[in-house]
Amino acid sequence: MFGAANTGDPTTLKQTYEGMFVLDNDAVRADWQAAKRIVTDFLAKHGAELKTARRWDERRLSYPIKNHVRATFLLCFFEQDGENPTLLRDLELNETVLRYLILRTPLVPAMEYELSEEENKPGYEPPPVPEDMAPAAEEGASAAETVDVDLDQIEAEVAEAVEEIESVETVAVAADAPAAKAPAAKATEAKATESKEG
Amino acid sequence: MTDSNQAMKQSDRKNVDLDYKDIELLTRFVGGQGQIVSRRRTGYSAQRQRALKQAIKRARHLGLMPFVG
Repeated sequence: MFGAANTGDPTTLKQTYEGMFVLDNDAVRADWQAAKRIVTDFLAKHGAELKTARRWDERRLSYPIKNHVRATFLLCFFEQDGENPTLLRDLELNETVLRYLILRTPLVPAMEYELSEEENKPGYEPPPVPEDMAPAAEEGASAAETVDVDLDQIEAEVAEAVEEIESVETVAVAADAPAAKAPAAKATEAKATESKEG
Repeated sequence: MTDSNQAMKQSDRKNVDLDYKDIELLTRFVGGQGQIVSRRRTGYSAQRQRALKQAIKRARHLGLMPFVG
């Protein structure tokens, strides 16, 4: 039976899941507990039994997600009766949760309980979240500047190249004109001498 | 990748847990452009290589590892 081996109780379909949630740093900066509660409330709303929830890390993302360069990762372990599509839909619609990954796991690691308890102590304060710039402001601005400079340079180079080509063409035409006339004149002269001789 | 991978003992490589959260380990198994290294170079069995692929793809999904570069 699905999930029976996990809990040891064949009458229940409860399954343990591991959820990693990528949270918006703006919300985390405002209030970490409130940001965490968004996810835990979703889980509770959809009938999940939360085992542990802790801040896993805050780091720079390998690529921008929803215009965010940095994000905070929340790691949760919870039990639930099978997959819940309404939970996934709520997570998709929420703007604080940038991305999530929910996996089935055989059991909650013992270390997770300790780390989660430490975080739930009253005096706990998460490390300060560094300021990050939106990727559009961070990368787009510099890219836009370089593009402008490049366009100007390209236009100037193209104009110079066109001028050079035109000048070379006019010189070539001027040089070719007498050279072209000369063989033609020679040919007519030769014909004239031939006709005279004949 | 090859140097660090070769430095790891065969037994260690077999026993190590391939988790999507262990970015330090997973980065050893991607090339310069972020591509997953082949079985020929990792020396993994089909099952282990599949687990490695799954872990890297999960890490990529969460923005922990790059898709390219």
